[in-house]
Amino acid sequence: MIEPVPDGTRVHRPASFVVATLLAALLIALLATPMANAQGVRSLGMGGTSTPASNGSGNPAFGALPDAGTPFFLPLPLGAVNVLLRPELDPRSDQFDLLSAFDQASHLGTLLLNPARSPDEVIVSVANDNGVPAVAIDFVGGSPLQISHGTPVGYGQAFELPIGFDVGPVGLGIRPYIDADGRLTPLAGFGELFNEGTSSGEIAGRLQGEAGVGVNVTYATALPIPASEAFAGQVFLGVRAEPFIGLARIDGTGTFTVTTTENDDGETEFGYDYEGDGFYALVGQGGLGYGVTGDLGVAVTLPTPDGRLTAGLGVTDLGIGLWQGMEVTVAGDSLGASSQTGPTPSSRTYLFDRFGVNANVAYEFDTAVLGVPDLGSLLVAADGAYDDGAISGHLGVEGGYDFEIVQLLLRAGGGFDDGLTAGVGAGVRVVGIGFDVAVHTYRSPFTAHQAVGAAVGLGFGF
Amino acid sequence: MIFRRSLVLTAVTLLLLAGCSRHTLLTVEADVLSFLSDEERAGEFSLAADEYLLPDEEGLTAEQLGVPAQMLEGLEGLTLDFSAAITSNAATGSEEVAASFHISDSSDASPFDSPAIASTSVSLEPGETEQLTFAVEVSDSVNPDALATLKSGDFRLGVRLEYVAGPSASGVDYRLDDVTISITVRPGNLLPF
Repeated sequence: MIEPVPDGTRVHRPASFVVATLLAALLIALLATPMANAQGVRSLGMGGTSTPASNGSGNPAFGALPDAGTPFFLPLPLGAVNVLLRPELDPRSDQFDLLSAFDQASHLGTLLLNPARSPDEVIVSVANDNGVPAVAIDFVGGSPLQISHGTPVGYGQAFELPIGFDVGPVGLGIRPYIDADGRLTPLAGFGELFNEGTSSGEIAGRLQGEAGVGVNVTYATALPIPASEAFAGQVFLGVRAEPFIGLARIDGTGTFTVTTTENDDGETEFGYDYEGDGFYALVGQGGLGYGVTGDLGVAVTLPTPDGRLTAGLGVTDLGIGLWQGMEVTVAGDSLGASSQTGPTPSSRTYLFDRFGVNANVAYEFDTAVLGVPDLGSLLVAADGAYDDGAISGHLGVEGGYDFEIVQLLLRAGGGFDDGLTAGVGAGVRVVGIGFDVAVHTYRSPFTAHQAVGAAVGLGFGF
Repeated sequence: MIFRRSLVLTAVTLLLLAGCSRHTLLTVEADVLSFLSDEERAGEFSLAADEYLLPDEEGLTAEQLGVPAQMLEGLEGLTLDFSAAITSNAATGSEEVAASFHISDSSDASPFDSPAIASTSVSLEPGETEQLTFAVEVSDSVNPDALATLKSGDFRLGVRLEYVAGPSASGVDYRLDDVTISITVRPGNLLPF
């Protein structure tokens, strides 16, 4: 029989529970890491730049490039190991920091050296400003929070475990995935809360998450364009179709308004009201989603006297999703009023809801022309993308040196991806086995903090 | 002045938006003076034992402060900064004015029935203006008994400004310059694990 726990008593969990939890976290991390790090350690070393070889998921046309044979990469889940090294990531520690943990969890493949930190102190100052009650908030210490600048705060993360193989000219794959993104948008007056203070402020938020499994079919081919003096290159087209079964989805929007007012007795009252609507679906509880998404891509390779240019344009997530789930709306205020409708069975249709466009260009130099001793390869790459309302762009370079049976690769790059990114990296290739390491920086979620971390990956099949 | 419970809930929400950690402190700092009218900020004492009580005879309770009991359990401390300018109206003889800060449990009808946690006084010569200033800290190391009372959520607190002594047919003018109260809690104990 389970004894009720008296109020105020902390439950001491047995050590075996803690170990099991850690093991489960490590397992999830192992599974999720390859995609948390989709761009791979190579890309991180180039500051996040994706190359035609690494851009398999963004542009299906790259699958038809002559040297597209992709080795198998396994980024190591160093981020999970960090839980054992840093008390602020350990939920059992007195120093546990939710923001640090969130930062690390969002970058499982990277051992963060300086995860974002929550403020040491939040000071809420209350005063009456010429007859108008006002509140101001200051954050002391910790990482600078975006919200305190009154600017929208966004978060997006995709975890996937794509497994694929080629059957003749067609690629087949299965892709379990979890996508999560959210955005908080300060509205009227909210930004003042963190400056001179305000008597009212409003903020709107949106949270979306989806988990499911997709089965994809990719076909890419070279167009039969005869070589001519005007155009000596090749053009490739690719298409990917992915029917999916959705196992869970959450989709909510809401606004939250804070006001300070003076009542009839001259007393200051702080109040809030909120309204929101949400949709959720969970398999096993009457919810299910299904649909199909598609990606289209075109790529061009063009030989030049000094090397080869590769460029590509991809359009992703041209899809439709149909979901059965539950609809809920809530509203309420600080005076105690609250209302809720639902949960009522409902269905939602999502059309192109994660639509994105990406462009890549890469130039491989003919090292024989360059005449640098031992330089076996030199690649300069750039990318740009629009995805779910956010734009990103990167520029990176990779040089390869050949020493007998060993190939040494050195990388560097940087760009913008919800904040500045930069990285340096190195790789070694020996007898079909590759080892890559990168030190990179990016902007931590919700903050203006530049996190620095190290990622390591193993590769096979070179 | 009433701090509604929603203030704290709002602060907690913001804290969650900000990210939360067990080391993060939440301080609510109120400029009490800004909520008082000009008449309430200044006045005159003419008789011995004349006094001005802030906020009033019954003091401020946890309910009026609007801090939920669970948050009070995580109370780290309270500070009060008080400053008032006192001007003597006497033609002859010195006068004395005192200020004190009181915390009692709510079984007392008034916090002012309990001994002061901190007090200070000033003596004025005829026509002189002096600043009466004090700062109180209630924490684990300073006034730990008062901290325990506050943590229990069962308390009354208040500030008294009192005309202690002076020659008859004289008096003082007082003008409050600063009354700032701040309470600091560690909301990390609200984390559900």
